[in-house]
Amino acid sequence: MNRLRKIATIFALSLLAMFTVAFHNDRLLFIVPDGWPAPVYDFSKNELTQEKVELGRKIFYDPILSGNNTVSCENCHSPYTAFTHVDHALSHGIEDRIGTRNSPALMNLAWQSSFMRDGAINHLDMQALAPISSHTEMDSDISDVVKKLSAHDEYPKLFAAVYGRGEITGEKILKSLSAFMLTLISGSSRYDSVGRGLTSYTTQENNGYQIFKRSCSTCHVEPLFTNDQFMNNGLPADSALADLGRYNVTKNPADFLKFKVPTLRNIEFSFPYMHDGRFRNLSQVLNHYTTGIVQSISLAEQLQYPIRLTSNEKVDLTAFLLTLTDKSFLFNPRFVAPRRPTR
Amino acid sequence: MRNLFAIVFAVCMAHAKATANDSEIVLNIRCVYGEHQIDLSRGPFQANDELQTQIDVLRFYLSDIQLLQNDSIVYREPNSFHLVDASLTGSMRILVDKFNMNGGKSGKAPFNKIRFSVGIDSATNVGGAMAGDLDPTRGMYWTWQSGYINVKLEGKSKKSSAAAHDFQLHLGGYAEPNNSLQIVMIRTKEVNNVTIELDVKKFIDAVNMGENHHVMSPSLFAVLLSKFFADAFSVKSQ
Ligand code: HEC
Ligand code: HEC
Repeated sequence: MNRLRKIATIFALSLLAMFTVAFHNDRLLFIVPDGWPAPVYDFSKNELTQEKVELGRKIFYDPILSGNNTVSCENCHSPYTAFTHVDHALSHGIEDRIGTRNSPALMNLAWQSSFMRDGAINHLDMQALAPISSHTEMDSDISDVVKKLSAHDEYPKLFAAVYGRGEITGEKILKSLSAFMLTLISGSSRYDSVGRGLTSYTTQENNGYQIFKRSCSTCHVEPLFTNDQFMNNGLPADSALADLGRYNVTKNPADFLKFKVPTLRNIEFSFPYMHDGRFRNLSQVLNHYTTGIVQSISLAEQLQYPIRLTSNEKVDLTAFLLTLTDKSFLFNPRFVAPRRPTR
Repeated sequence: MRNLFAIVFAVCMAHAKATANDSEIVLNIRCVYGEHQIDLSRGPFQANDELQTQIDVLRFYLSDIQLLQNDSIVYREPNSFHLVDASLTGSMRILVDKFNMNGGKSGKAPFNKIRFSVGIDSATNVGGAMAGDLDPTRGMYWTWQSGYINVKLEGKSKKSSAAAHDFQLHLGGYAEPNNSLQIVMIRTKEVNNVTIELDVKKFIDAVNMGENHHVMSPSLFAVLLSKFFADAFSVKSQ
């Protein structure tokens, strides 16, 4: 009886929570999963509506954003691989020019306070300006994009439906893209189901979880699996790209070789790994953490002493990491290209 | 009869345009190079001095405009962001609504100082996409690393050791220690039609352009140049 009442209360509370955070719309556009912190993104400056999210989605998948109309955001951020560049260490863009970094998975962006591996971008709205203007990515310019969208036969109507009368502006394009990207929430993995008491781990997964909490979770902090900070996780510097990470932005020597701690959600699909995509699989990653750490002044304190894992423990840890795969995120029909692509 | 009406109407309109209406204070921005006015609407400005200075681009943000009587603020313009562009005559004139002065009471509140910022404050810099003069299509936003460009000055001068003596100064940066936002406070006797003058010669004279003819990202040097730029403002009596 007592237990029944408890379940009923939990059910009622979660329903309530779901409704209070859903933005005024019949379809729930943005739901903070149970037990997650409040998002960082200020929705009061960019209220989500169904039309705005759909407009942003259309823009995201439209190569009109690139100089010669061939490259869309999807080229480097595919929905079926947690929005990272399918199987490419370094992303390549327009005319196959190679970039200098591996494209990160896009998810749970509303909880992120800075963007890019080195945090060069300070707000989700401003992110799209970087690829649009980059010579190796889309090689265009936001003013050009405004012109092209304004002359298009569909976009002016769609913008008017979202923002009212008035011309298409850079601000409106950027906010629409943010609106779509904000809805890319991954919080329904097996890990989450276990947390909600809906299922339980296998012995192997549970062993892996204990190892994870011991060795990894101070940086890859639950439930987002990142602490939203920049750290040096002991990778040897890559002499070819000479990427100094966070130092590039702050010019502070203490930030040498520090990179954003990435989320580990959907890690099964977001290979290759690290800022330059140097590791092709999780076993290479685990070998790095056990035997590959390079000492340097900015190396994170947690990694000063080697993490020791037997091969069985590595298997267990990997089994746990695979519980972070979220099928309902990877195959969400609302995230893929809209049915009628524009040309 | 109809013609006469049209003429009267046109005269009234012209008058209204020239002096603005009673409820407004006009701030005219005048960009000069020493004695000579810089007007880029018809192409680059060429000085005939020993530096052979040429100015192609001159754009900067004036923000947070305040009017003060001694040390107390009598008016602070809400949402105060103005992109001044020496090639766009319309951007050289800022109208301040007097009816908002004096805590909402209408009428002329006395003031003897003007305070404004050159550039965009850090809260706005981290606030996401913005409209109007702050829209990224205005070309005053860095794309590869977030942040507004507070001042853009491009041209040529013998002071620059670059190949064609060209220089390109993009001054900005909102995060410490490279915060380049500058606050300018100037006294004024005129209270209706105020002319704020920016003397680019004064700025270029102060800058050591030798090696640093291209400044394209936040740095301590950009902060220093921003200070020199702010020092080149003054109020001119008509
Ligand atoms: C040519 C490949 C390419 C294209 C096209 C591209 N991106 Fe990216 N994207 C990247 C790479 C590479 C990074 C990481 C760069 C870095 O860290 O310096 C990135 C980073 C991001 C991030 C930051 C993620 C994080 O966790 O910090 C977002 C958001 C993003 N891109 C959105 C977009 C959008 C929106 C578009 C379309 C307007 C787009 N991208 C087009 C390659 C691309
Ligand atoms: C000191 C903080 C820290 C600790 C502890 C840590 N990591 Fe990381 N991890 C990072 C950083 C920083 C990166 C990104 C480095 C880069 O991009 O070059 C990263 C990247 C990764 C990646 C690649 C993610 C991607 O999408 O490219 C995986 C997988 C990973 N870590 C797993 C682990 C595991 C498993 C552990 C525990 C054995 C662990 N990490 C411990 C900081 C840490």
